[in-house]
Amino acid sequence: MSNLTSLTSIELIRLIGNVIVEIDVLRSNFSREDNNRKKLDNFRDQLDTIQRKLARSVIDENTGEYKKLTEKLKKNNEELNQTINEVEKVAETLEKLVKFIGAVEEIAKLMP
Amino acid sequence: MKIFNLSFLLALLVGCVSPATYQEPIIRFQQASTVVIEAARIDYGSANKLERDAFIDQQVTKQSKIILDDLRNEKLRVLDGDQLAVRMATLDALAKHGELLLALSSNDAPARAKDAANSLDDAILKLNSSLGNAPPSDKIKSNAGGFATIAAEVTKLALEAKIVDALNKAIFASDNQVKDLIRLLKEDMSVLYERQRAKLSNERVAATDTFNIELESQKPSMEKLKNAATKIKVTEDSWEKLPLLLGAGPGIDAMQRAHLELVRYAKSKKEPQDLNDLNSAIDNFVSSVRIIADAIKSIH
Repeated sequence: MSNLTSLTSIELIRLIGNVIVEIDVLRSNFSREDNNRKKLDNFRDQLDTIQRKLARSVIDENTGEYKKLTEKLKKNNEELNQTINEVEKVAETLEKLVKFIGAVEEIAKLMP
Repeated sequence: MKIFNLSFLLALLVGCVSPATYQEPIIRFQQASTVVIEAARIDYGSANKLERDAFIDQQVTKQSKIILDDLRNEKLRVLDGDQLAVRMATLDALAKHGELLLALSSNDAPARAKDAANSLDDAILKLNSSLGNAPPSDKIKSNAGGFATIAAEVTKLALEAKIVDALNKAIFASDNQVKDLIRLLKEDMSVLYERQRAKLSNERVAATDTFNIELESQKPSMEKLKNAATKIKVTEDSWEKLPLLLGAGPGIDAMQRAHLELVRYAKSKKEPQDLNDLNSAIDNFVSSVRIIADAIKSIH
């Protein structure tokens, strides 16, 4: 069930944190040389960097653009949650992560 | 007429709570606030160290160079020194404001309020000085500045022994500025917690990797496997305890509740039940803070 409300900046940081934790659980299934693992490591680093940036920046939660982008991110997150816990669906998860990170990067661009 | 005056005075005395009764909640509020401030200082202080360590761990995993320039890069910091100073000065001023509010509400307010007002005055001076250095983008800056202005007016009125005006102004400050400031500090704590969670989550992967790499080597060493397993256990223990490692967060929550009760009490008719409610709120504050104090002891 989709909840179409935007996120506060704290909720955004927490949501990214939840995905980081899920990625960590997933990537621990693969050896460091595995291609899936390398991609997951890379995605994890990207999210970690953006989360740190968000932690020290102020983002205006009241703009229409921010609200629209966080609503989109919530949808991406719901889709991601459907597969991220299943190792055998890693290819699908990787595709969804590309979308999720793309949406996070769009939000990050709003930071001053 | 004399009989009326005497009856009036007696009624006042019966209704009033002795000054000594107020002393205890003031002292306990002060002590509990000190613990919260210390816990927040540790949380804020360790935030940048945590980021630096996470970066070093990341470089080790990637087998990449570690350059000193990277370690001192501002991007690796959640808060710079000036932002940190504002937060500590704000917490200190908030605690002193609570103490003054309580002193203003007591029966011997003029005598008691003077010390508390001087103490708040010192805290505001420090706060104003740190605000001057804080970056304009820091969201706590404008709220703390607004609070410092009103709190300075409260101290002036208290030192001039205009107790009723000072009390009203202190209540106004609490209703309008303190609430927002505490909310911002709580948000800070949530952010720091999330960064700690991300770091620990990464450590879990590193710990299992070490074990699995050894296991898949041509000749796994039992000793190395045992060491790696011990590291996994330690990391998992920390992960399990993560919800308890909220640092100053719960203390700030408790401080907020105690502060609300201080305001409610200041607005009340100061009947015995009001004082009981206040004591009960401060009891809860002290209980929450005791847990934090134990955690701080274990850290040290």
